Amino acid sequence: MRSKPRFPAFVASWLCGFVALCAVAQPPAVPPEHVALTGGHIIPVVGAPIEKGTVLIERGKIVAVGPEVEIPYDARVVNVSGKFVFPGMIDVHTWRGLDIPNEPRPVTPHLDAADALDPSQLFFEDCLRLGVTAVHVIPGNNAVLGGLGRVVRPIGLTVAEMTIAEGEFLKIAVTPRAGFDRMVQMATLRETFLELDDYLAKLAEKRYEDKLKEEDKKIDIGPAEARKRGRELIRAEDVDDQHRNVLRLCGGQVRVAGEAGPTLFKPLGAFVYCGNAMDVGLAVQIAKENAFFDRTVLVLGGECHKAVAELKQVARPVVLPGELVYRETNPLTGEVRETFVPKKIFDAGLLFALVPGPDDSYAERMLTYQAAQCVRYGVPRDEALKAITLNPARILRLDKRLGSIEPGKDADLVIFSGDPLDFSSVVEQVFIDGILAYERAKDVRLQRLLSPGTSDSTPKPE
Amino acid sequence: MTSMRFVITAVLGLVLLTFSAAIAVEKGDTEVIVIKARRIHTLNGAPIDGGTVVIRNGRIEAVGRDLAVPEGARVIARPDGVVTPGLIDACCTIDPEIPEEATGWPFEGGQPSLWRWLGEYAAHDHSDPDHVCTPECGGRPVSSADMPLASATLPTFTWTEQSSEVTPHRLVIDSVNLFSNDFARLLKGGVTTVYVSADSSEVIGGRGTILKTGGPLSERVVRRADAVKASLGGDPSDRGLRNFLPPYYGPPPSILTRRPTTRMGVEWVFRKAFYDAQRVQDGREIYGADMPPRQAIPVLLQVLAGEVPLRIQARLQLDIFTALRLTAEFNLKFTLEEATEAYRCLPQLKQAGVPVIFGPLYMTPKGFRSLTDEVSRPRLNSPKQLADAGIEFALTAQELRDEEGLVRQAMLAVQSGLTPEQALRAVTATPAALLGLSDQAGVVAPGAAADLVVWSSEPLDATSRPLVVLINGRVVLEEGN
Repeated sequence: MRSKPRFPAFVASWLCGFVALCAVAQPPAVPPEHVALTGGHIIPVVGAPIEKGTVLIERGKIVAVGPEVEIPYDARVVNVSGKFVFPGMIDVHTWRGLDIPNEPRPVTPHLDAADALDPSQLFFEDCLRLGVTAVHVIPGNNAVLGGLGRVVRPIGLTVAEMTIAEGEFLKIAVTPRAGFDRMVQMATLRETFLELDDYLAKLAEKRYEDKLKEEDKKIDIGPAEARKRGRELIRAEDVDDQHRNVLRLCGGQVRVAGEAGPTLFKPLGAFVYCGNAMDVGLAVQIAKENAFFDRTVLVLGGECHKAVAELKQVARPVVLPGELVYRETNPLTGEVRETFVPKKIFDAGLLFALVPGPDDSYAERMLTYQAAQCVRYGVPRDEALKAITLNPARILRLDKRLGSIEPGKDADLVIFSGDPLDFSSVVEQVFIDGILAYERAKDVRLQRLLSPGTSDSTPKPE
Repeated sequence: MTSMRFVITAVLGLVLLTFSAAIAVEKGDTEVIVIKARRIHTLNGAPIDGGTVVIRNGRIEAVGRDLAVPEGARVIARPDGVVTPGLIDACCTIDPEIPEEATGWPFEGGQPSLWRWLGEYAAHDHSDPDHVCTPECGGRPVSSADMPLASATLPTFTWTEQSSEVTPHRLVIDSVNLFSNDFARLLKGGVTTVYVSADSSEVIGGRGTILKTGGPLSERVVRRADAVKASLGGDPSDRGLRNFLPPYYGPPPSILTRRPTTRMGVEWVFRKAFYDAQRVQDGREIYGADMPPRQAIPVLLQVLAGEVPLRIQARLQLDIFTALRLTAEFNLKFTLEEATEAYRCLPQLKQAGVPVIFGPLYMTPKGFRSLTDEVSRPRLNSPKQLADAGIEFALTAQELRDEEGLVRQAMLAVQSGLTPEQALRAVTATPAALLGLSDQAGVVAPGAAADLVVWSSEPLDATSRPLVVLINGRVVLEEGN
């Protein structure tokens, strides 16, 4: 017998309410297996544009692109006739999305941008609005050795959901951080690598000692010999956080006293910030000395166009500054000389990527406008379009997944109302992994900026 | 002695002759230029495809298809080019003195350290009401009650004209540096004529000027003194609140240098200026700390008589309504400047027949605008709404240049709904009309000044740039083929 025989009416009503709520709050909608975007003008970036074509998406991947594509019976067909289908653009280098760009300490290779990523930042919403579907968030330039970056989609509730790929690049700055000079900057940087050698040597020695201890033996050799014998004994878990990423930067292979040991980790690349022309040489030097030259991306400041011969010689990919025109005032005459940086870099035949311009410039925030500026000053249209899609994908080593509309790639697509380089075209829809992630018609904040006034409801002046 | 004098006169005469000859050659009065392009936006009828413009003596002689090329003419042929009239910014700022809060310290030698300011704050005896403020304690009376430590360490000074709030006798032309690099940047953006407006720190400020952005100095000034500028809303009262001169630069504010610190005060100063002008006209005395200076009275009377145009800068809806109310009181005609919230006053502006010089458009305010709270409700499609309401409007970039300059403002307006024709008109023919230059500028028509821009493609395309710019029939910018 129950102590409370009467079932209270309010409990019943609550229960009913709860059941009803459960019915309303559906689990996240399962994306349709097949999505077909039909009738659009496709700009695949690789290959010629397709006037009226179809992009077929299967489980988030592009499976077919062309004028004649057989659409499966179960496909959700989205008619995009009269619109332009463009690959999702990639912001290849930004600290936005983090709360602050840099830790006050100069050497922080153990930090990971993913830990400070805030999925709720308006920045990501803006990315969607402007057609950016992948963002490489990496610590800022005010550092010596910054930390690990991460490539994310601008949508998702958690960092794990947003992540496209684990960070493969560390941030290094050759341009001195605020309040320091280049000598200190370079000395700190070199010291970081020397300290790694020292650390590994000691670690090898310790590992050998540990091994002897396990075998209940006493050490009977000098430190040099102990290091030599301990080199092969170093395991991945022995390397601490601070040194792991520096070791990965140097290739992931243990080196003690110039001798190679076991390869413990996957190598990391570096985004090396060169704010001035003189930094390019230093960046190349430090990269070559420490065996990460082949995985180096140079992040350029405006003045670096002066080092275009050096850049051409080293032929590493470059990330261009947000302000594409470099202005220099002659201190004697006051005359201003303007250089359009991307044209010089393009003429040198380098692999380059564009980034959005200053935030407070309405137009330059858009990657499409940055590309349009390149076309204005003589970069061929196809190359300008690549600089905001495929080139950044290549730089991030994600060109198997991102950067163009080709079978096998992620279905990250932007539907423009017209030609992407025409400024009056707007982003109407964004698909990420084949799922509709943004729709202009439902963009509340944008609607507000475009809404009419309320003059009728206000008093009229006498 | 006489021979010496003769020699000097002769040499001088020769020098003068050479100079005048050089000037005649430079002016190129007789040069005939012919421009051939893919399309000509005349702003005076439909665009002409495959058209030709003939320029003689600095003016446009003929526009049309299949015109004969006069003998000896210099032909500028840009087969892909598009010709428009030179753009006109009807509310430009040249070399703006951006307040130091926005850019940093305005003095040479860098900003004094925070510690210096802290020290100066400490040097002031805050408990003593009779303490005389010295340059050593910041040159300004800091009272511990109204100035918390934080703001005392970061002083907010003004460089505003301190003599009066009513200075319509000042001329903007006197402070424009015609050699400024700013003009070259404007030229690169295809802007050939600018109206330089006074800044918004006074309730009734100086008179603006109309200038060409290039060409020989003698022809740069189109009109020395144009409209009187009045400002309503936060700008003049904000500057009144920060009525401090930097150390060593002047006395602290007193009853003799009073400033309005509220909208009510601003409105009062505006109204009092015109009433005082009328009193002087009637032969009566004027008095009070904020009476207009003597030199201002004749200009104010000219404004009242409609002989000098009036411009009012107002951003918010309530300030625009104040402008309409005040001008109705004195039966004044005016042009509205900036007008961020004009979209909230459309019927009223339409009814009053007030033309608007709107702009700039921005997503994030910067420079001056980052310092005011009057920019929290902008609309990207304001130009479109003004056009739909049938209000005469021009677009301006004010102090913005390059990628936010005038032609880009028109491009942004097109993105949010304006047609390219409307947008082009808002930066050429309409501002010309508002400046009283119709038929002289802003159109490609026979008789108009030959201020022309040849663009690499349609002017409002993001991929377009000026290839050739002419002012008064002179090539002032030309890019190699």
